[in-house]
Amino acid sequence: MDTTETTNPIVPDYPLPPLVIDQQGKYFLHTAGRWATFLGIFGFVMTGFILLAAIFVGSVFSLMGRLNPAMNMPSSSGGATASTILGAMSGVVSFFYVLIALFYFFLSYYLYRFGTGIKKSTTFNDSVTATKSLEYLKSHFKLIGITTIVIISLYLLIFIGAIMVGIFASSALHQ
Amino acid sequence: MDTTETTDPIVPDYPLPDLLIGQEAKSYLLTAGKWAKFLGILGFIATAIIALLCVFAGAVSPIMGALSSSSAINASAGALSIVPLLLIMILYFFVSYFLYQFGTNIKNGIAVNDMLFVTKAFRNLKSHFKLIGITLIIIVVIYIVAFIVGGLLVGSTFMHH
Repeated sequence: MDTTETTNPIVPDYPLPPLVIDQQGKYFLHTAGRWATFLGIFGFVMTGFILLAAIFVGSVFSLMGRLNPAMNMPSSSGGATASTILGAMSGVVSFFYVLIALFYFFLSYYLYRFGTGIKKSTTFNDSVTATKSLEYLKSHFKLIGITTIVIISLYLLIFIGAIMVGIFASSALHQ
Repeated sequence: MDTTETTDPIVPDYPLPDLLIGQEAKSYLLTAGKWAKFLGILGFIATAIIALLCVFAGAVSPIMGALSSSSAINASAGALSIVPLLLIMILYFFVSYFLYQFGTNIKNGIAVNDMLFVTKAFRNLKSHFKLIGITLIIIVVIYIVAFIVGGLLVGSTFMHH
């Protein structure tokens, strides 16, 4: 029993035996893997485009500051000129673009690894590769799920914040 | 072969005809299924919100048409504005449906170690990725066609002047 366990990584774990994926299941997994690989490569290209956009946003903002001389006048509230504010804003926008690019990259990377791995494992009945690629599938869905939760909670926070600001503003007006 | 498989699921030593999913892989599949189910339910909610938007747009566009002078044009424009929303709604529904089906079937399949459930789950996973892939291909093709047509239109206007 021990020898079969060491030679074969698919341990017939008692109480539960391994799940058997037959021809049909393998076909579905293989097709899913092919589409996942395609989507992964597409996502890599998209990541490149988003990074390009991040670079361009910075240069467009700085160009706006240079072309408009009024922006170099010191503003009334303080020493900062409008162009420096614009520069800071372009930094923030670039930061968000890079954040989105990072999200896209990992989304696509996990999909790509899942796709290539599952294609190989369904062809050669390789359980070790299948385990690895299923881990990537898990990471893919987990990343989307957590990002969605974060975005929804940000929306809720903005919503609640806006309501609070509205309440405070109206109470301040009535005083 | 079939009878031995059903009565005795222990791994054979000869080259495997089937892919075997061990405990570790099962746990990954289970986690993936849970997240997929969650995303599917969120997608259903999003679908419902888009449906409400469609109903709202459908209710508003005739009023807008009645208020303005060129009612026929506005009404048709309102109807046209719903079409992309409807398409997005249908896409969202099916993407979420396949995800949800993958999640529930993988959960059942691993709980009872049943190949039929897992096969069904993989079929839905395949459909999910396939739908997203085909939609992306269509969108890219539309973009390329729009690019070419736009370029040709600009070129032809320059030629005429």
